This record gives sequence, structure tokens and C-alpha cells, in this order.
Amino acid sequence: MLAPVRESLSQDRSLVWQRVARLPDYVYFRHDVHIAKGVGCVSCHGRIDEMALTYKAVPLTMQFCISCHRNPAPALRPANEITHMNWRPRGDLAALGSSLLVQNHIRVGELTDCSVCHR
Amino acid sequence: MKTARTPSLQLEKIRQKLHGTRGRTFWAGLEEVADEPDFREWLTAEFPAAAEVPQNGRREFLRLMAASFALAGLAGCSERSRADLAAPFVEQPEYLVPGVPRYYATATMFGGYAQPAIATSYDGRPTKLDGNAQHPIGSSASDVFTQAAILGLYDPDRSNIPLRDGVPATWADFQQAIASFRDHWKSQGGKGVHVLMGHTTSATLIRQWTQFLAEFPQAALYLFEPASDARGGPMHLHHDLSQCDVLVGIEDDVLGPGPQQVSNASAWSSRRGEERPGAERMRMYMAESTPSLTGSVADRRIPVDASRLPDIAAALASAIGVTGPGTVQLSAKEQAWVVAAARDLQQHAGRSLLTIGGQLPLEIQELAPLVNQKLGNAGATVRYSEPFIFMPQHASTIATLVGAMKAGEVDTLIVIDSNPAYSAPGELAFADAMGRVNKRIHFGYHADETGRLANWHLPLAHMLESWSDGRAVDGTVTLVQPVIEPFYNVISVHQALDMLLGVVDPDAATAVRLTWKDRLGDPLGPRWLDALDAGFISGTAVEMDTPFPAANTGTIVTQSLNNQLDIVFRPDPSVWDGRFGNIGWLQELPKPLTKITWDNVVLVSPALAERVVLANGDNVEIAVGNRTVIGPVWIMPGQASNTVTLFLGYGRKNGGHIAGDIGYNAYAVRPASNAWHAVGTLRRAKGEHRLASTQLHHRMDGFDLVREVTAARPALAKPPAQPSFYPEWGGTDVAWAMVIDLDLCIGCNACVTACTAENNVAIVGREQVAMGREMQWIRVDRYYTGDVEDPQSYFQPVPCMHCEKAPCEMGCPVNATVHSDEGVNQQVYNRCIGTRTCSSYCPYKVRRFNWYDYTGGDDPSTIAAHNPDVTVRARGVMEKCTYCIQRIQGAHATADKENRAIKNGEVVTACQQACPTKAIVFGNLNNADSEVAKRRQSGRHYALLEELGTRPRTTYLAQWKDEGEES
Repeated sequence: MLAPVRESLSQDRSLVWQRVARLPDYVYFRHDVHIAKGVGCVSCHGRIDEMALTYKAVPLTMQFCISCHRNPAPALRPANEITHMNWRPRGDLAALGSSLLVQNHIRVGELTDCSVCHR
Repeated sequence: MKTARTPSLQLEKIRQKLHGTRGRTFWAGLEEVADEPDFREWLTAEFPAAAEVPQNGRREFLRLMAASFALAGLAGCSERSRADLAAPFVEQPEYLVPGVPRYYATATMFGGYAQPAIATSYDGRPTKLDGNAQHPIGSSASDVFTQAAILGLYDPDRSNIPLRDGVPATWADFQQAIASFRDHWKSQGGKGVHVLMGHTTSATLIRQWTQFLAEFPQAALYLFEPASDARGGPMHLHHDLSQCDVLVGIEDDVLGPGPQQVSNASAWSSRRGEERPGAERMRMYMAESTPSLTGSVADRRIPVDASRLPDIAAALASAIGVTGPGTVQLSAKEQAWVVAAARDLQQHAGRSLLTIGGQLPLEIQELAPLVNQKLGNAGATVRYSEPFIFMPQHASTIATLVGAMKAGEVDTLIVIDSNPAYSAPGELAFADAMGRVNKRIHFGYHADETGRLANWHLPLAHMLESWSDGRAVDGTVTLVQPVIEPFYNVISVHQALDMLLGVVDPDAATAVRLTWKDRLGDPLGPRWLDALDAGFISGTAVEMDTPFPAANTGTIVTQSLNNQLDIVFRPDPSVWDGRFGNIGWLQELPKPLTKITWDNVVLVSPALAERVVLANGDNVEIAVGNRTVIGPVWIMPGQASNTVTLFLGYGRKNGGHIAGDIGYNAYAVRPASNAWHAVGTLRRAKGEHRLASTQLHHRMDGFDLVREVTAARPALAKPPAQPSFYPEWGGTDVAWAMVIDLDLCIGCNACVTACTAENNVAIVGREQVAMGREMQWIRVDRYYTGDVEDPQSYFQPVPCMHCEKAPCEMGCPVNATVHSDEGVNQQVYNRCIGTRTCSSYCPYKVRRFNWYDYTGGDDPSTIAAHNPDVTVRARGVMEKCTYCIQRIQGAHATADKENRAIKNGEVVTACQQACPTKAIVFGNLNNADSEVAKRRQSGRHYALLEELGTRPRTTYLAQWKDEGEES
């Protein structure tokens, strides 16, 4: 299964990947801020660990993005759980979310400004 | 379509109108003062564009993109976009994160001097150049040429392969040819080998030339730089304008375009702005034949014909007492100017400065060091050093070369990075003489006029692809490192020299490292790497305390005009000597004073226009001796009455798709003996030329657009707050705002070019500009007050005002322009449906509409110049200044990741970054320590069209008017 990877290295040729999650050119998305603020990989990429063939797990429409930007708290998790595929909060999700909002200085209300994603 | 014209017979009417008005009238152009019904109709259209496009004319921008279509080929036809595939590195380079820019210190070359720069590079692709603030002469500021160099790199017309007699060849072919040439040269001891190059300060190039000369002792060298003047004569002048209380200039545009513009302007600005007249503010006097940027900001300016400037200089020198009493006759006005200037110079002895332009004869220029010596200014406001432009004893001029070519003495002509077949003075007939040369070798960026005549045309690499070195204007050795691998089959100038030296497959990095081995040691050692990281070798500035050699106070000969006219030559403020002609950003840049794009004009005074009966755009024929040239005329307020100014750099035959076939070639009438001044005649020629001037585009309907304060009344009246129906904004930590100090603006256009580069602003071509469709997000409005012969000028940069109560936001039917919590008026391209309502609602006329798909046909290399953080706009959408929202959001992301607020000064807009005088500041209004908040407290602070109640976030500081003591 890893033959293409070995081949890429031995022949010094890029492994060409097929994108499944492509955003339009007028949408600017940064992974780093989402990770820094506590959005888990699984929130947008889905259960990549269970995919036989990778597929787009969520619609990645503006509706999808903005619902989280309007109310980010439910999507937040502690920094050490970012990559966890089936993380479940111990205790009250709402309480954890709102404490992370404060702790991570998330600028709620400003995240829906158009220029956050469109420039 | 209707174009704005000024029938010259109306000039009398214009004068009467200007005299008949009470109070100060600000006007932008002669057409505006004349105010004919035709003109009013043209102006009041939303865009002057309402008129129809000529039916049979192919659209200009399509022509500009012709190359692009050819290059683009069939790309984009595949069913699945290539963008759906992702090909990562096999081995990820260290520190390289896709999409995160990296910064490298490097430099561009201008007139032989290194202009230190920091290149922004995305994934190995440079997209922007800015000043290098770490450099001893540096700041983050830059000029239009440095900003536009990035587009020069991606110029699709650049030469990309060696040509032998016009046929593609390989470098191996050339190296083979060189081997046999070298044998021949050696047998002659180098006799018959003639090398011509532009000015240089590169130690590596000088070392290589010395090596060449050692091998071929009889080889001849010529140094030719069409637009560099003889400033300073035997010495290199180092002005320190920050030490000047009084600056007197005679035809010396110290703030104008040139290698020293950024450092001069930035020193100058420390004595303006908040410094009030009568205290620390510099007072400026200027006598000049052609309006210049320096003249525009001078407090007392006087237009003087070029042939009479020596008289003014002599009278001033005489009044200071360095020469005997003069015999020259001055007019009362000139006399008053000389008396006032001399008195001010003397009263501020030791802190004043007289500068005399390098375009005047040397014996006139030498009066300046005499005066500055006598007043004790030398060592304070001006210092001298040995020149460090390479100018060895054995080098001679281009006229000598032409003589040798005509005499058949030239066997081999090697031209390096120069285009003499175009830019040599017309009377030398360089191209004809070149035909008599046996072997013609041309190293250049383009297969230009000279390249076409060469047996071998050899493409050079752009500075951003090369290893090199050079010296900045203070002498500091500045290193040039490549920020991208050459994407064409090109070599650097050092590789070229090494090839001539017989090195096989030379390497430029090795050549540069070899030059600095003694100083910096091991090429991979810490000293070399530190210098490379900083972009310069510290401690290499020149010794500036050399005294000026005793000047010969020879008699000054005044030329008699004999009823003819003074013809003066100037480098073009956008394309310089023609070398930047194929850079669209520069062609579309409205020239600082005339606001003309895509053309050069013949400047005449209103008086001359009246005498010859001329209107703007009329063709005139200029004759110098028996040589003539025809170009369109422009009536220039403030032009000396009998002086005609021609601009170099246009009328190219083989300049490329953009430079080709526009303007007239002023070199045709340039004399060989005096590069800057001639005596000649002017007459009306057939026809007229439609010029694309933006001076009356995007006019605001209102009053008090530009305001002035005086020492006696240093504060403007504060208008009462306007009530509003609309809700208040606020509640966030950040409120973005910009304040532009009109007292600091010199109209240099650096902001406009920087914005164009940063924000992927499209170029649209002359025809579209003429219709008012230029896309630049920031414009520099130029106003005049006073009479047409000698008006006072004002510059006013106008970006989007980001109104708190923005009319455009009320107008948009689809919410494509909305307010952000931080006060940015956002434009959402993907929502815009192009009704243009916002634009008609905008009282500041800062919105730009994509009438056509201006970018869709861009060729792949131009696409590579785009900033990936900014959307490239499509046809049918509105756009405008965003306060560089991508930089704001970038700073937010950085701050958010570190869990902190944005720091004061963390967001710098592109225009602010480029501005050499810090006229533009941007920041958070809610932070009392920010420069913006401080400027808003100034008595000079005002908002544009305040009475409309739009509450702009972009505001202004009024200009000082120095009323001085009347003499």
C-alpha cells in the first residue's frame, strides 16, 4: 500500500494527491488559527481513520463555516485533544466550550465579518 | 467620444476667472477653470466613460494581452482543473510552510546604485519588494521603480534564449564562438575590442573588468547612462536634509525620482509635518524651468527659463559674497527671490543648503559648494566623498565610441545591459555606426533596439534571479541574492563577464563570493551569512569628510536664445530612460504632475501655448539644429515661459508589447554635447493626440478638499458633530483608521505602485484609462491655487475613506459592501453583482469597477506576480481599497495564535510601508499610543467632505502655509 510513497522518494517525484476538500479561490482558510483555537481535525475532515477511500466529510459550504463562526463554543476542545478522532468531553460540553472561548480569547461576534474569510 | 480640451484662446478667460474669484480657489486642471458646458457634461458622467467605445478600434487592453493569449495556449481546457491535484515536495525544505511568505534581503540596481530591498516570497515565488529598514540608508520605504521591479521579473517579453543573428542558439554555441573571438582578440592585444556598459558600483563587475583589461590591455571601455546627470561633478554629494532649516534649490529635484529619492525624502520629512513654520519647519526656495516634485512643495518657487538659471545662480552666489558683484539683469520678481533666498541662507548659516541640479553645467554647479563652504553648511547639511560610481580614467564617452565605429576601428562591440541604439543622442546615429562593426555582442534583458542589431543577443537574468553586489547611495556595499531560480535560459552579468574571460559554465555566486573573500572569509561562514541575511556589509559606507576640491570660479557664459526656445530633457518619472517601459504598472501610473498615463508629452508654458495657439494634445514639432521630433503638447501651469520640456524613455521601436509604439522619442533631438539642454524651436504640427490624463477623473463634488493652516492660525475650526440616523459602531478593541499628512506628501506615487503590487490591481491600458476606468485603489489628486503662470501645488492621496456611515453600504442591493466590527468597509467580490450603485453613492469616488475581464487573459508569468493573499477580481465586480485587509487578518491570525491583542504598529498597509515621508499612517484609533490617535489630536486634523456626515476613518492633516517675512 505504501509503494507509491517509496517510489516517490526513490524517483524524487512528487506524490500527486487528489484534493477532496477544495475551497473556492475567494475563500481564505488558515489551518493554524483553527488549530490554535481548539478546533479538532475531525470537525472538518471527518473520521479519516475510518475512511477506506478519502471523501469530503462535511459540505464545506458557507453555511457550514459560518454556523461555527457564529457559535464556535461547541466545536472547541482542549489543545491536547485536537487530533483525537473520537474525543468526547468529560462533563458538560457547554461549560467546557464557554471556558475555552474565554481561555483562547476567541473574538466571538467578529468572526462573522466578511473579511475574515473573503479578501 | 468627448475629450476634455483647452482651446488656448480661452487662457485669457481662465486668467480672468482665477483673478475674479474671492478667496483661495483650488483647481485641478485648466479645463476645470474654463468650465465649458461640454466639459461639464464629460465630467458629470459617473465615469467619464459614458461615451461609446470607437467602433473600429481594437480594445487596447486586448492588445496588451495578445502575448498572453499566445502563451496561455491550451491551458485550462482539461476537464479536471489542475488545482484539484496537490503535489507536495518529496522532501520538505526546512522552514518552508506552503502559503506562508518568507523574506530575503536583496537589492535592485538603479542608475548604477543598489537600492536595498526586502523581497517577499511565497513558496519560492517573489511577489513584492519593499525597502530594507535594517540598511544604513534604509527604511521600509521605497520608490516606484523598486516596487515595480517585481513585474519586470515576470515580464513575458523578456529575452529567454541566446540569439545568433536572430536565430535561437545555445549558450554552448556562444561559448564556442567566444573561444575563437578570444584567440583573435589576444592576437591583437585587445585592440578593436570595445565594451559599453551602464553605470555600476559592483565590486565584482569592476574586478572582472580589471581582469579583462589585464588580459586585453588595449580594449576600450565606455560608460553610458542616458538619464544620469553630472551631479556633484568631481565629488559625490551627500545631502542631509534633516539638518536643513533652509533649502534653496536651483533646478535640483532632490525629492524627485532618482536613486536618492527615498533617503532624501525621508530626511526631508523630519523637518515638515508637525514642525511649524517659523520654528523647526524647513523653508524651501526653488528656482526651476520645469515644475518638479521639490518645486511643488517649496514655499517660494519661481519659474525661470533654463538659459537664465545660470544668471540666478550667479546672482545668488554674488549676494552671498562668494563671487564678485554680478552684471546680470534680473526681473523684479527674480531679484526679490534671490534677495530672500540669500538672506535666509545667511540667517541660517550652518543649517542651510544650496543645491544646484546636476543637469546644469558643471561651472554653475560648482557655485553650490562655494556657497555652502562660506556659510559653514559643508560638513553639516552637505558632505562630500570620492565618487564610487565606476568611472576609471581609461573609460570614455559614447560619442568617442561612435567616432571609433565610424572610423572602422571597432572590430568587436560588446554592449552590457545598455541600449545605445535607442538611447544614444540622435545626432550620433549610433545604430548606423554600429552597422560598421564586425562582431556585435549584446547582453540585455530584452531583444531591444540594440539587441536586434547584434550578431549575438544574449539574455541577462533579472536582479531577483542573480547574485551580484553594488553600493547604495551612501557607499554601503549591498548584496544581491537571487530569490528565484531563473525561469528562462538566462545568465547574470557576472557570468557574462566570466564567459568573456574564457571561463566555461561560470557561476555568479562564486564570482561574488570571490570578490568578498578577503573581507567576509569563508562563503558559508558566519560573516558571509550574516551579511547576506542583513543584505549589506556593515561599515562599508564611504568616508564623507573629504573637502570639495578648490573650484574654478571661471566666468559663466549665458547662452543667448536669439528668439529660440530652451529645450530641456528630463527622465520620465515613470519609465525613467526607457528601461522600465515594458512594465505595465509604471505605464499606467499617472505621472506626478501631469497625471498623464501611457504617454510622454511636450511641456509648454501657458504663455507659449497662447502665443503658438496650442491646446492640450495638439501635436508640435520640436527642432534642434536639423533634427526634429513630433509629440503631443501639454500646457503646464508653472512652466517657465520660454522653456519646452521633453521626456525621455518613449518612442520605442522594439520595447516589447507594452512599451512599443507609444509616445515620441526625445533622444532623437538630444544633442551629444549637452545631454540636458538645447536651444531650438517649436511649431504646431498636424493633428492631435488623445492623451489619457487622470487629473480630472474621480472628482469629488465639494469644497475645502485641501486645507491649509498658518503659523498665526495653526488650528482648523472643528465642525460640530453631525447627527446620524444610523447606529453607532464600536465595541471592539480595534478601530482601524488612517491619517494622511498633506504637508508630507511629495506626490511621488510610491503608495500607488505599492498598492498595485500588494492588491493585484489590474492594468487596463490607455484607452480604458482615457474613459476613466483606471483601477488604482489609491489616487494622488493634485490641486493648484493661484495663477496659471506660477501656481502653488498640493498633493492629496485619496484611498477609500472607510466611512463609519458609508453611503455605499446603504446603496448596495445585495450587501456586497458591508461594515466590519473594526470599522473596515468591506467589499465582498463573490457577492457583488455589479450594479455600480455603491460607486454612484460614493462622494469620494474611490470605487473601481471591472468593466472587462482585465486579468483573465494574463499570461502565466504575470499571474505568478500576484499576491496569493488577495483575490484576483473578475469582470463585473466592484473593488476598492480594503486597508490591506489581508495584512490585518494576517496580524489577527498571528496575534490569535499567541493569545494576545494586536500590537501597536503591527499592521502596516502597503501604501504606508512604501511612503518615503511617512505621510500615511495607519493604526488602531482605540489605542491612544498609536500614531493615528495622536495625529487625530492635531489642530491640523480634518475629514474630507466632513459636512456630509459620513464620518470617514481616513482623515487628513492640513498643509502648512509658510507666510514667512515678506521681503
